[in-house]
Amino acid sequence: MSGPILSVRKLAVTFAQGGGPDIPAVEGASFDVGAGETVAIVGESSSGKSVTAMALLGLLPAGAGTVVSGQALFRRDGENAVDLLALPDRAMRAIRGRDISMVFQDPMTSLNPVLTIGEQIAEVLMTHDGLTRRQAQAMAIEMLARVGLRDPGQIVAHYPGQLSGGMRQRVMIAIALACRPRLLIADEPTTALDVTVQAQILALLRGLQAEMGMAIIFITHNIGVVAQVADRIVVMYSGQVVENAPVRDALDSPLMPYSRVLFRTVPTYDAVLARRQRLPTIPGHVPDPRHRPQGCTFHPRCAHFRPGVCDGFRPSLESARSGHEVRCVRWEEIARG
Amino acid sequence: MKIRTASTGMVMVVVLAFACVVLPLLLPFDPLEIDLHHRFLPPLSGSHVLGTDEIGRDTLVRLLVGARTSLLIGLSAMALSTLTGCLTGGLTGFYGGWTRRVLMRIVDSVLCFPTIFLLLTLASFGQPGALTIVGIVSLVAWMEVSRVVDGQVRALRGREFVVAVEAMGASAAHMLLRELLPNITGAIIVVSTLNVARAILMEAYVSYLGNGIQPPQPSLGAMLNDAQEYLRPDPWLAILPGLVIAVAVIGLNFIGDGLRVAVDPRQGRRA
Amino acid sequence: MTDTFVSRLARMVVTLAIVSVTGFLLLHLAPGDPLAQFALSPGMTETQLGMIRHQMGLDVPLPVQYLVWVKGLLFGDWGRSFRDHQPVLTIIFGHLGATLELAGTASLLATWAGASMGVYGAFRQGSRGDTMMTILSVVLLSIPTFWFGLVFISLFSVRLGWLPSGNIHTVGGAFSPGDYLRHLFLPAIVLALGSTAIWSRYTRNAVAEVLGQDYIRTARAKGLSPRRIRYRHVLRNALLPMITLAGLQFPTLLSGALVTETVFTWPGIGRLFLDSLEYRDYPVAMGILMFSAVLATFGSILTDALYAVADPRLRVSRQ
Ligand SMILES: Nc1ncnc2c1ncn2[C@@H]1O[C@H](COP(=O)(O)OP(=O)(O)O)[C@@H](O)[C@H]1O
Ligand SMILES: [Mg+2]
Repeated sequence: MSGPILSVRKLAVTFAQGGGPDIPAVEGASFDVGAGETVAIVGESSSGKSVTAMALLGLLPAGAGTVVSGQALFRRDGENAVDLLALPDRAMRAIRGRDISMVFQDPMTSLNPVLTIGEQIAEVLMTHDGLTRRQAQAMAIEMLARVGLRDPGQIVAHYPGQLSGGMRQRVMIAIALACRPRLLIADEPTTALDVTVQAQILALLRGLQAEMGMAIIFITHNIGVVAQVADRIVVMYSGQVVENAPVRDALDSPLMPYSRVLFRTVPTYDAVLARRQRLPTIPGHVPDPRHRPQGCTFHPRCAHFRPGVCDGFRPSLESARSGHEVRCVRWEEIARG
Repeated sequence: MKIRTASTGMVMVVVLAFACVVLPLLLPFDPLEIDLHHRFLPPLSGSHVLGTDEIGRDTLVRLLVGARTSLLIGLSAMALSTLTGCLTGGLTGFYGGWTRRVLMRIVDSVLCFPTIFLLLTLASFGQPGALTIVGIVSLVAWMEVSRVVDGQVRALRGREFVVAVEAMGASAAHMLLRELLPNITGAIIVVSTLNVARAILMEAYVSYLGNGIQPPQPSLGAMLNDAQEYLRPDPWLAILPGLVIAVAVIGLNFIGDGLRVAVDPRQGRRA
Repeated sequence: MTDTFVSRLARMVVTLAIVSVTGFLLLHLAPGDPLAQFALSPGMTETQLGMIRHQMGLDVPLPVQYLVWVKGLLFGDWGRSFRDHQPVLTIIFGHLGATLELAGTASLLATWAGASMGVYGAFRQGSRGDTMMTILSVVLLSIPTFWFGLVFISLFSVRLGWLPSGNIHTVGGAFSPGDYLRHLFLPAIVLALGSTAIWSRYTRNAVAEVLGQDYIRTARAKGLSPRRIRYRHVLRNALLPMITLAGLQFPTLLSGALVTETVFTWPGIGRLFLDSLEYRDYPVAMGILMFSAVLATFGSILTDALYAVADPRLRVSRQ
């Protein structure tokens, strides 16, 4: 591997509300994704995971209220890196769906109800790879077979309404991978599905990754899933990255108190793998992004809170050991116990 | 943006209402006073601020009195149709079943008639005049209210607090009047406001077609009817009543649309 | 599917029955007498009036009159006008063409202009242009159409003398397409104004609704061109609710046509209806009422059929 294919630096997203205070949805998020690597982004709801993903692809609502800053360097094969956040529309469109694809949470609403499955796969290929309609349709059938759908020749002519949720998510994956992207962003791709279907979709994604070699940013609530698929875990809390470490390291010895509670009920990597548990609920609430606490944003819920230390200034993300970053002023004391 | 249009609407309606109540008392003319020496005066001619009509009556006074009639008709028709609509919609929404099916069939059938056909046919019943118009306009307008109330009551019916009250043995009347209706006043106010606007428009149509307020009493629609014969000598006679109608109806519609947002922010953002 | 179709048909029959009974009752119970026109002629005796009354079928009880009329209706004999004794259907069809030309032109204009305005606004939500469109729609819906008619006549016909102020063609002149179009122009525009506003509001909401859907985000994530997203994804979906509006527009257009025809002395169904009301010409008035009710219900059935063709979700459930 020759350096990361995606390198996010100080990504910040703010939504200005007409009248009310601004919403800083993401504040200075930084992380890398290596080629062929799977990075899991975990965190409670509304911690800024989806906004981070959408910002990378330029999919946030375009209005004047949305302010995105920072840098996201993306490298295609043998080319200089481009900054995704600074690309003009046209160049960004050329990357979307071809070099970086996205799979969304709810397969029931993410496909266009009035176009056939075949059309929805074919149009990416026609747009990016310049295939003719006929070639694209043939390729669509091939993709449907690859994502494990039986009778792909029939399914191309179906409409989304005729397929089950799991089948639709397979179709979404077929669309996302049709142009062989280098990076796939999967935003809670299994959350809306039944448990058995979840497992199938995960297995499918891992199989396809082994086959096609793309990197994956995997956004999830499900710690069990993380242990199965991720090489690295990025923990987000109220718009910030609070911990970033290789998966085994993160699950076995989390440093940030938030991650510790997050992984508490699932203490070890192997136990996690075995039990596939969901994120435990943590007492208290994720702070309203418009009124975040002073200092460490987690301090009101933190068992290790120390007045005067934790509520003074925002801790920065510091390197604890090689490849393991944490945002907590007291991480060393806490680790010592 | 919505808030601003709502307050603009409020200002328009309040100013118009104030003007047509107070100004006629201050002006030195009677709306029925004929003055054959001063016919077809254009606006801004001496003491006749907006000129005079084909028999020398002061246009401004007639406009104001006509607008007063229109507003009164609109408000009364609104009151009547809101009452009817709440009653029918409340009952059908509450009981559902056959009552509901019958009512909706009737509503559908009535909507099958083009509105003007209905208004004109109904108008041929009573003596043409303000009361008749109030009656026929409410006969046409209650359905809208009924539909809205029916939908809202049905939606609320299954909610916990209603179910809880029902479990405690509350009577149907108590639930409807005490629990359900207070919760949908917002929606009712919105339809009602828009209904005032619609009623004013309907009055204009009916009077214009000769079945409403009868001459010599001024009404905005009737003035337009008169005016079309005199487009050549005096187009103002046609232009001005239309503008007054526009001020009243636009104002009310703005208020209604703004209130709709206040009542249902989700819908407002989409609309 | 067949089940819903049958129940639709049943509901349509019920609706038409209610329309016919109410209409019949309303007209016949309303004050005024169709014989008034004859009673005024000199030398008319009570006996003669009685004979006329008998010939018109007005001397039997109302329910009998209704049944006689319904029977005729079902067998294609819609009765004869009290005024000139022509068959009702002949009279209606004689006036229908003019109304269809006027209403057809107007609805084409309105759909085109209104849909364009709505799409424009929805794609620029919150912009100044969008606000202007919204306000314009409210204004158009707040002013009675006939007022626009009067103002246009006073400006374009009386003041400027560019366009005729009424009739379908120049009185006494030979028919020519140019002359016809000149006469059609103002009434068609006036009739279109109200529907344009409705179309504009409706389209804007339909398109805005679609724009907020997840599958549009998917389309953007696929890197499709804005053009393709707009036509393939947004408008295709927004078209569905618009079909419904097209079906619902029928009674509205007819109402509008009635008024517009009055302003512009356009010899169509609307004016015929007004005249027949005035003369208590029951057969003609009832004929028009039933005719428009039938058209309106067929309109809504046609809408459903179109919808079923256009929406794959419905096509699927039928299989
Ligand atoms: N378009 C938007 N406008 C305003 N606020 C938004 C918007 N999208 C997301 N947010 C806010 O940003 C925060 C992060 O949201 P999100 O990234 O969706 O969280 P999650 O981690 O659950 O994916 C939330 O507080 C959310 O309310
Ligand atoms: Mg999310």
